[in-house]
Amino acid sequence: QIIQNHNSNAPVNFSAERIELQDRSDRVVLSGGVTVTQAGLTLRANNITAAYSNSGNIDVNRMDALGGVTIVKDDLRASSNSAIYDLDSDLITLIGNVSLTQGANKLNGGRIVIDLKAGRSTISGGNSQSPSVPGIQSQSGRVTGTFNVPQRDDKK
Amino acid sequence: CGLKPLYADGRSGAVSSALSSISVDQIDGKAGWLVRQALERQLNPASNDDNDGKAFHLVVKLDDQIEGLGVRANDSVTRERRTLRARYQLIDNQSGVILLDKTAFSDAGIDIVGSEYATVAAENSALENLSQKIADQIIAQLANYSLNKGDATQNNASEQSSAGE
Amino acid sequence: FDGANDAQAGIAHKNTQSNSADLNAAQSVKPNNDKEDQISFSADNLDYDSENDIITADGNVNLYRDGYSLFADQIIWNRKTGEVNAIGNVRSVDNMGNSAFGDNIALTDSLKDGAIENLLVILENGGRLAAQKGSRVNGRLFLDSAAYTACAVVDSHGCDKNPTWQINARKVVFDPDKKRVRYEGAVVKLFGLPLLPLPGLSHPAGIDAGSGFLVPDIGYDRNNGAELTIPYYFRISDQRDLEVAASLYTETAPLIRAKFRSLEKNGAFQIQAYGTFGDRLSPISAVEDSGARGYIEGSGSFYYPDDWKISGSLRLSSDRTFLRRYDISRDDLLRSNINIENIKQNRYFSINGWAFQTLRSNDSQSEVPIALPEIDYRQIFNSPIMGGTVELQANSLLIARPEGQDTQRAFASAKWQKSIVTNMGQLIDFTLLGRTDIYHSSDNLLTDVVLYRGASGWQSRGIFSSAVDIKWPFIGKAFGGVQNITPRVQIVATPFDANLSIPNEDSRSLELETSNLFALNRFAGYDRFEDSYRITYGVDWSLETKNVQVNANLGQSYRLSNRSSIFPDGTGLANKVSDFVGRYDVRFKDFLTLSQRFRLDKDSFAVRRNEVDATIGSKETYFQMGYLRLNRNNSLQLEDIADREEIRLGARVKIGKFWSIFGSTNIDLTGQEEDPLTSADGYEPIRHRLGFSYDDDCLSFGLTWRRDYQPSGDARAGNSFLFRLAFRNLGV
Repeated sequence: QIIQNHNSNAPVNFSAERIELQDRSDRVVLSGGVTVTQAGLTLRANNITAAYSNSGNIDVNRMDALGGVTIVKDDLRASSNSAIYDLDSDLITLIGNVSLTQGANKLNGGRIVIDLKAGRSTISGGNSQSPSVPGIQSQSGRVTGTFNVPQRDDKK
Repeated sequence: CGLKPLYADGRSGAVSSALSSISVDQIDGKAGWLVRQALERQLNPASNDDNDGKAFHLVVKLDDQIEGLGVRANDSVTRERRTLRARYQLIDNQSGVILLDKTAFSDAGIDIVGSEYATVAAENSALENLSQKIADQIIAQLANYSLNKGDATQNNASEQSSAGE
Repeated sequence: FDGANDAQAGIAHKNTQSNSADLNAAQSVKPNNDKEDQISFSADNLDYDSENDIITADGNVNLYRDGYSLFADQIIWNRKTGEVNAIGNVRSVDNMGNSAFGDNIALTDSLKDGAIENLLVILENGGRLAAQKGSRVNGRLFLDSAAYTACAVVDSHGCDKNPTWQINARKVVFDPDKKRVRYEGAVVKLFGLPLLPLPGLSHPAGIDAGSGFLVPDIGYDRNNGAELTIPYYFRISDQRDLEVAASLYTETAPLIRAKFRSLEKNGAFQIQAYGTFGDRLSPISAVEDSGARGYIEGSGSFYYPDDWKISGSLRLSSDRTFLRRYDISRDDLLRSNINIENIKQNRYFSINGWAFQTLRSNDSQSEVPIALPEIDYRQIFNSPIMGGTVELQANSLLIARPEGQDTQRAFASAKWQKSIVTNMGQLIDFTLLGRTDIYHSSDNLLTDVVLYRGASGWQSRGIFSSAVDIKWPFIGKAFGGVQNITPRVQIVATPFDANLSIPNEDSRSLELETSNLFALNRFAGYDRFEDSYRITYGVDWSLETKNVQVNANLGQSYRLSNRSSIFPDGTGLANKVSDFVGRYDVRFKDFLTLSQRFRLDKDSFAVRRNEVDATIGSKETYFQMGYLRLNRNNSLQLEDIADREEIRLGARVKIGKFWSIFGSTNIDLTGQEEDPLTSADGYEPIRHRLGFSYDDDCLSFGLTWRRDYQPSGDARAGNSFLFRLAFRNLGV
């Protein structure tokens, strides 16, 4: 239930203070409080370089976000140092003391790979210092977080 | 064989002045009260109790035992032995360092007599005498210590004793 | 419970197709600030399949929830069904600190309940529970074919050894909330051999004590036959507990013992009572009768503001042989006392009450004194007069005897003391004492010893005593240490004071010793005050090296006036020249302690009194010797100055790391030459004791054989054996 049923080929719109188009290398570099929205998913970062293929219409296939990356969708909010959104393979990879909160579930770790199509996400420690969580001290290179226990009537 | 008076030069001698700079903490129980009075009388005979001016203080812990002996055929105990042990520490008030940590020990015999109360009274008298004996031993060992300390550090001992006054 | 879970999961399952986000959204909207609904975790990496809501974490995974934590190599948590599966050296710790190890554990996501295969539980108090299979249901652990032990399973070098004892049971229930372990079909195995089935065994598992049966004592006793004592311990609260024990005998009625202890805000007290119904043989009348018998003892002390303390002790037996018959204690005199004390820096005040019960066969209880009140008040003033200290003392005493002399006394005294140090190093103490006494006594003729009677009715007495005490301590090097030699001379002048007209209640026990040689009044107590002009001289010698400490003193006293002394013969002070008295003690490290006190006849140097006490050895292996010889040949045959000779020996030897044997004996050597009245032949063993014991970190047992040679009423002489077995933190 991290991110599901997200249509990664919905139209993408950008807004940023400065947009620099490098059409020879089919790339656009946005910097200064960049916000990218796509069907309810907003990606913010200090600067994002988006690579697109120009076959008639613009089709963004990969975005590299750097610095203060936050991703928000419905009640999910993830933040990390940097992120790569590969629209063709529907994979978002966040790298560098990643923290992800969704309702009561909180996750932090070094790297998160979210597979939008399969709805799977794998988090690994990497080398970031993960913050401590109730009952568990923080160690470097570890994934930590809290998960909400779904309410069940048999819960005594 | 090298004997010399312990309290040479009387009141102003090294040992007397060192002893008069020692105050005795309160010791619990009747035995504690008796030992403390005997110590105070010999440590600073003429001083009033301005214990705060002292450079050292003495902490004493007592252990008082009475054993039955002389068990006769009809299993009656006919003699007792009262043993008083003291463990005491001399502590420097400024640095809190324990300068001396020693024990003193004395015992006395008591006849068990027909009247039970007379035996109790004899045990009390034995305690009074033993408290005096324990106090004498502690004073003697404190004096020995003050003398060696005095010899070893001749100069600062005299400064200390004048400071202690 | 699994069933219920699936059904619920089923429902949850049906609507996932619609939009699981809504389900989770619905949850997350619910304010869930209470912590316990969250599981926090840490792992090397984590894989979350949001499709079917399964989290797989691996790499030294640690899950934590509401005090429960789970450690494993890999944990798979199906959030829909709530099943947590831990695989690979799993450790699950409950909120009390009991940890369970296993190969793989299936738990619910409360981390409390679940099934565990070949599990090992380490209890908070160090005990270990191992079981083939176990399951935990909301915190309680149900184990099948389990074994419990409190012993170390690893020896000092770290290679494992099987525990000295263990308890095997078909089924074990461990309840961490109630901190108790309960067994079904339990058998204790000692050194690997099945020893004792313990049906319905249960014991506390926490650190602090819990109620339950304590380990029974088994023994054989010449009076009561075989004996089995089963104690039960009630832990009423953290401050109060009660221990009740029933002793069953083969040859007499059972004995019940109850001991209640309580800690109050400002003090503590305890009461212990014994009771039985049986036959008894009175040592006096040798009449055999039967009836209720018992004994009660209690003690307590309470502290009140401004240094007030009230303490008391009570000992009361139903008859004279009860204590010895049931081997409770060997005392032949029971003291009960009430004491109110207020001790300040320079003031001492106490009120005492004494009552006694005699168990001796030749004493009559109605002649036993009751002393109530005995008031003692002392106040010290420093340097009010000429730099000396003044001690005021007021004392009063009231002694009553149901059929005997009654005496009342009150006195007030003032003692002035001043000490000076001469330049030559002499310590001179001046003492002046003034005292006035008032006595009143009645029925004096009922006291059989004429010397003690005094004149009945009102008597008064004035005492004046003065003394000069000169000590000249010398110090020098000797034997590599320091020696002190202190010659001492004391001159005492106490003009005549009335003694024989005064009733003597507390000065009856008198014996010249080094401890009272230099006392102003060498009588014990206050009723007799030695009136004489005398010189007492002696020498104290002490040596202190690194390992050895020796204290010795020797002394004698010479009476100048030739008035006959009021000291009876045999006390060493009867003549003008007293006997020699001496004492020395030698202490070598903490290995040897020897102390000897003696009195030698002034002319013949015959040994009048010789008391030796020696202890040699360490705490585990030591030898103890006590010797006493009194040969005071008092011509008046005063009952209170009887002579005797005795030797006491005791030893304990440690063999190997755990075994030790011990023994002790008391032999009364009193023969004709000490006590012409006795029929003893000079070698009369009183009792001896022999035994062995085994003590290791979790078990101690021992067997003691004791032989009593002297019968007293229905406490017959003969052998008795006591077997003691105790498992650490299991009913101990």
